[in-house]
Amino acid sequence: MSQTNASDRAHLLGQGSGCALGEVHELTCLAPKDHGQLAEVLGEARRRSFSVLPIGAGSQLAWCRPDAIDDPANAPTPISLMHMAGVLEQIPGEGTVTAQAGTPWCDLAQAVEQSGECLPADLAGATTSTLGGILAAGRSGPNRLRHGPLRHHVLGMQVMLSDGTLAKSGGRLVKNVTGFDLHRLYTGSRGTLAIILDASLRLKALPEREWSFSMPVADCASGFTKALEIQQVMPRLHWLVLTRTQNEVRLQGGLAGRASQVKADQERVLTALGDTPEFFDGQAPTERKRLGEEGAENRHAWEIGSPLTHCAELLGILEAQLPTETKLWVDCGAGRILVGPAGDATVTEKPSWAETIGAEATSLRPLCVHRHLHAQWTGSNPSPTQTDWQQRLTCGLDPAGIFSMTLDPGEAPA
Amino acid sequence: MTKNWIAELRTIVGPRNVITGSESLAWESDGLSLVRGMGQAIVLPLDTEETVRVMKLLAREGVPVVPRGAGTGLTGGATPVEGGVTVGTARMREIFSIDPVGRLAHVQAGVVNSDLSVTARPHGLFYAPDPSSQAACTLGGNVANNSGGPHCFMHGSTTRHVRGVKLVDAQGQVLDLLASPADPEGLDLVGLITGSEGMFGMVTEVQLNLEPLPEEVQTIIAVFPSLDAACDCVSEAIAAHIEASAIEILDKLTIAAVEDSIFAAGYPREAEALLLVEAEGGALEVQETIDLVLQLAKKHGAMEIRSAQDKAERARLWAGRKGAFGAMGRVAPDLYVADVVAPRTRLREIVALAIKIAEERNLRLGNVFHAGDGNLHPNIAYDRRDEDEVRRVLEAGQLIMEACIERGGSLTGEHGVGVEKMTHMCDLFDDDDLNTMHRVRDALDPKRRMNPTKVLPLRACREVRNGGLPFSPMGNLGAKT
Repeated sequence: MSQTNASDRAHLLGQGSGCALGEVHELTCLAPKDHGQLAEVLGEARRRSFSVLPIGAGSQLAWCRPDAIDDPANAPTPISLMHMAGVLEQIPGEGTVTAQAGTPWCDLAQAVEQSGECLPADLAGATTSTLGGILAAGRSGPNRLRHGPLRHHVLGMQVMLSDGTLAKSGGRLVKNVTGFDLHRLYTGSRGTLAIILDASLRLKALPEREWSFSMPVADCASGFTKALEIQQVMPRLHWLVLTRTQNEVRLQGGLAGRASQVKADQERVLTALGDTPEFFDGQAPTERKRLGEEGAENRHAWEIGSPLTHCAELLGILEAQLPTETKLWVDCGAGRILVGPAGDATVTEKPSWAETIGAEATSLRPLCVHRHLHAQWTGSNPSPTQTDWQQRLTCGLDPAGIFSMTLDPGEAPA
Repeated sequence: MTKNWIAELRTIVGPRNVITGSESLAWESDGLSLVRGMGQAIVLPLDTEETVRVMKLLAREGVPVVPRGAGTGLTGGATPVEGGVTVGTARMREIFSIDPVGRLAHVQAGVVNSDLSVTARPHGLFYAPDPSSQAACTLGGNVANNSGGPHCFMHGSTTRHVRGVKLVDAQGQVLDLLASPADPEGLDLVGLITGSEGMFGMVTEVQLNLEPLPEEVQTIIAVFPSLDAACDCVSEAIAAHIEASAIEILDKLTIAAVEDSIFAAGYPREAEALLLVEAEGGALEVQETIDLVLQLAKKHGAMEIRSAQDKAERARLWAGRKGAFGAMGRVAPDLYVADVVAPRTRLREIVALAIKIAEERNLRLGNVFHAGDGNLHPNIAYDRRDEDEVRRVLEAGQLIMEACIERGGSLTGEHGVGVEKMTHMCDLFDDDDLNTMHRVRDALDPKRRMNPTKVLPLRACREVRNGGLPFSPMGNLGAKT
């Protein structure tokens, strides 16, 4: 691997492929204008043995590919699909949308709202993130409590493999089991298998009414227990989030759907909450997006995936161990816990509490601590067979290893 | 003389659980009875541990493996292959646990679909995917085929409900993806395995999401003077973003077959088409959904609309729908069940085409389908002893698939590709698409021993376009000219 930095390599690849350069988050990136130019870039990368990284709008880099910004000398060369954007198909009455990967998520959301529909994930960072980036990062919104994770609503995809092959999987229909669901494999693969070019999503009906609440709770563990109780009483909750800041712990959630049903359900939620919460009727979408933003944009967070049955216990451990300035954000529907610094602080090195929490948390089996500070891929220990499968798939689809810095092609499994 | 390795299999799983010779005839096909095959043996391991030993032995001997659930699949995915061994889940019937807090079930692959909902019910939970064969089909089979069912209109197909799996791969290695967090750790291997039709390994255990029992359920039927009117009603309901849990259509031939059978549901025999709609959720939203259906049904000329008055009547209406395939046995001894997906804005057009194709070939076609998802099941009643009729049935099936694909549809919505639709993969995907699927398969099963000669044409589309697949149990019917 050359020791030139990512910017120098971008210039070299640009000269070789005729691809223009762009800038995303202060990173010089290649910005191909179409599939042909992207294939040229990948061909040039193979010839020069440079690794590349599709970066979308760059909003998730610190989150899922910190190698791209933390180690410029060895970082892969960023590729942005900013010029490959736009809705390809949205037929009224089909309930689906197909768009190019570079389409900003917020533009896509606006496009589908015009037909009375909404995207299946209400995502944070919507002002900057792209469709391809969100799918590659495996993101879901807080409303996964109601709709499930975004990957469940991806109907099909077209990608480009590292050898320039264009490959489709799935389709544009709401129901389809033809062939392998490779789009499920690409979703969440963080650009290590292929570059997503376009994707089809199933849409949801735009809710007539939204309502949300917010209330202080004593601590995260008791707040989570409360969250489970509320879900028992009201299974139609759309989102439920627990936040701990320096000053307080709050449980926040919301409803969406038919106006009459939301009005009736909110009374039941209020009764279940017992105390009188503060609530922001009418401001729910804004508040939910702000909360999602908090969770997703926390650049140096740990992410812990916990079974719901163990989540309260785990939160108790975290609260006891964490310094007071650290922040917790819990998606109560998914058992997803984010740990990070308070406010806008930026952490440049691993904090002292990280090791302690890691040891405590991983002792609570089954549990997965899978986004470690500055860790490339996973902080826990997947089984040897799981690791073997992942390596086989990575090598099978990207034998030259240009999408994955972490995997030396020479280490390909037999 | 019995091969040594078959004797070894008997040692692993017990002599009664290795079936060979004429006793294995009961396994010679799955629900696609047109395609039959005979392997070397049927093996029924008890659990993951026995499966590991079986798979390691078969790997050592280089024997192809065909995973099999209850054999209710309709595309030949579980048909034995020559020289292979069918590994079944018939003895893996344990429900290990129900977690009411996490709303999860941990089961063995051979558990019957409907048994899970029965077990989960005391916890206020149920398992949503409900294939018509749910009283017989297994959850492992559902995972392999990414099975659907009427209520997948609201809840989604099996893939949305699989949280984790335990799989034994072609080499006998265990891939344990149980107890996974809500988001996959690394690549989404569970998503890849679900719907892969047994080509990556043998699923032995499954962790499934359960749903809370709905507070309110309403079921109605609307009687239409024509199938076109019923289809148009559904298309308009979809465009109006209806939030029903199931939207089904049955045509006149199917209604008559149901009403003449033990599944008789009280469907009006005079109906040309029957729309069966269910809504679930909160009482108010359910009422609004039903009101919208009533309004649209009247607009499209419904002659009669009836609501289920109680649970018993609702159960009867669904028993008729789910028993429709079985009831068609009264029309003819065999049934070809097609499974294609139409764009939901073109339901009427594609249903009409299927009817025309069948009429032109003097075939009896009944329609019973998941209209809300655009997932059509044109069912052709036939007698497999009549060779000419068999030829016409297969021809009609191929033409229906082609017509659907030409209009933006897809090959299969819930039954899978199996052997029946393998050649038509080339109509939907190009060589690069299929080669990419092969690359994934070869990465995980380089010797291609798992369920060979299914789903993917061997060398992409070349041999299909050159006149048929020599090994295809469907013969040259799939050849593109």
